[in-house]
Amino acid sequence: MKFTKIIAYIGSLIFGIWLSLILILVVVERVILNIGNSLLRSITGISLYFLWLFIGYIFLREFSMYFIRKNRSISSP
Amino acid sequence: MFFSEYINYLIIFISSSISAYILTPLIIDILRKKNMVRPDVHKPNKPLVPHGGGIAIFLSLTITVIFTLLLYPEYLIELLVFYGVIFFSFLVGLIDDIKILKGQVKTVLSVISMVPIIIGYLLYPTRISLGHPRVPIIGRIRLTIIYWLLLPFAIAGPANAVNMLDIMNGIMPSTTLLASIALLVSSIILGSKLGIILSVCMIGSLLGYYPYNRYPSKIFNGDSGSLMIGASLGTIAVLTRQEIILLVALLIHLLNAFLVFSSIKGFKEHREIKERPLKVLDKGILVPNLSLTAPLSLTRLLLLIGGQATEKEIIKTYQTLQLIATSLAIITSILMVIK
Repeated sequence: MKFTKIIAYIGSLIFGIWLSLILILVVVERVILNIGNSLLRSITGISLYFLWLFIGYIFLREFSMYFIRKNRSISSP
Repeated sequence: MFFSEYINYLIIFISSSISAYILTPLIIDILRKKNMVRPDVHKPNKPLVPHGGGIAIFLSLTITVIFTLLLYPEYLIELLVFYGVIFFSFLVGLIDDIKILKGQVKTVLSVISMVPIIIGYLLYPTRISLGHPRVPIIGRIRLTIIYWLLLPFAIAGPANAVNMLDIMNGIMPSTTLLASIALLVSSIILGSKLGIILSVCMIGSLLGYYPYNRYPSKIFNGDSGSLMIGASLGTIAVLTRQEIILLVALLIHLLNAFLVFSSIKGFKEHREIKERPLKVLDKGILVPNLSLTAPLSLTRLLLLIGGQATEKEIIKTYQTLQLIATSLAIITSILMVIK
């Protein structure tokens, strides 16, 4: 088992998630919550959080699929 | 902080760790006599291990809460709310250990564990205040609609995420112990006395229990243990407004839950999933399932990246990754005081 490789990949992934989480919270609080209309503010804020989750979902799916495909190509004769 | 304060924290720590350390072997004997055992599937000879370590942790936390109440009667409401959530989540887990609940039922029941917090908030709004969680750089944020939408998951989320990563010997207590340390350090940084008290309760109990669950396990936690520990961490976060810190401290657990949910498309009990994410070869070597339809999990991803591994290597990897998440959670709390 390549311990360092795992820590490097997943550690970077965790760090990326953490950084994007802080960023999205700051952007919503500092930018979105300054919109005058309350309804528009809520919709934009909620949409942005969902967009963040959706991007995370797509990225994680592709990230995992990349390693599945790589392992399948190695194991197939 | 006064010297007597440190003594009180030490008493809480000693009572929780010693009670867990003494109670766990007694529970192991009882479970073995009642034949409440399950095979350790990651070992070559699949030994039968007593299942229900949550009972020992629950009893230890009960003793600790009583000690804490004697030392800090001014926190009666907060401690009752904390204990209420522990009790409910332990009950849900215990029912699941005995009668195996469906994934959706377990999730709904773990949402109900939130009830003591809501009751506390409605009866004592000055003591149990909810909303406006702390965030780095900004301070308190104005989340209103989103906060109330997410609140039911503040307990069910960590409870189920911790439960889903309770897959190998010692992973649950060791990772949640590190998450509790993150909450303790953050509470010190943010000056939350309640946070310190509750985190010390958790650290003591988990530390006293860990020697029996570490590799090779003498007892399994059961859902009674993992759901309760996750819910307890969620309660500490909500009561002390450290929701974001806990979110970061449990990133490994949440990442695993996210991978599982996104691949199986919904709440399912692991026994309901036909295809397994990993395979166990001879001599306990773990390899990832290379099928495109097999569910994703963090362990499968670890094996896909790093190649085949033993259970011990996977456990060590999880503990190292949890150390990274704990460090990030502490950095997050430092960023909260530096505005």
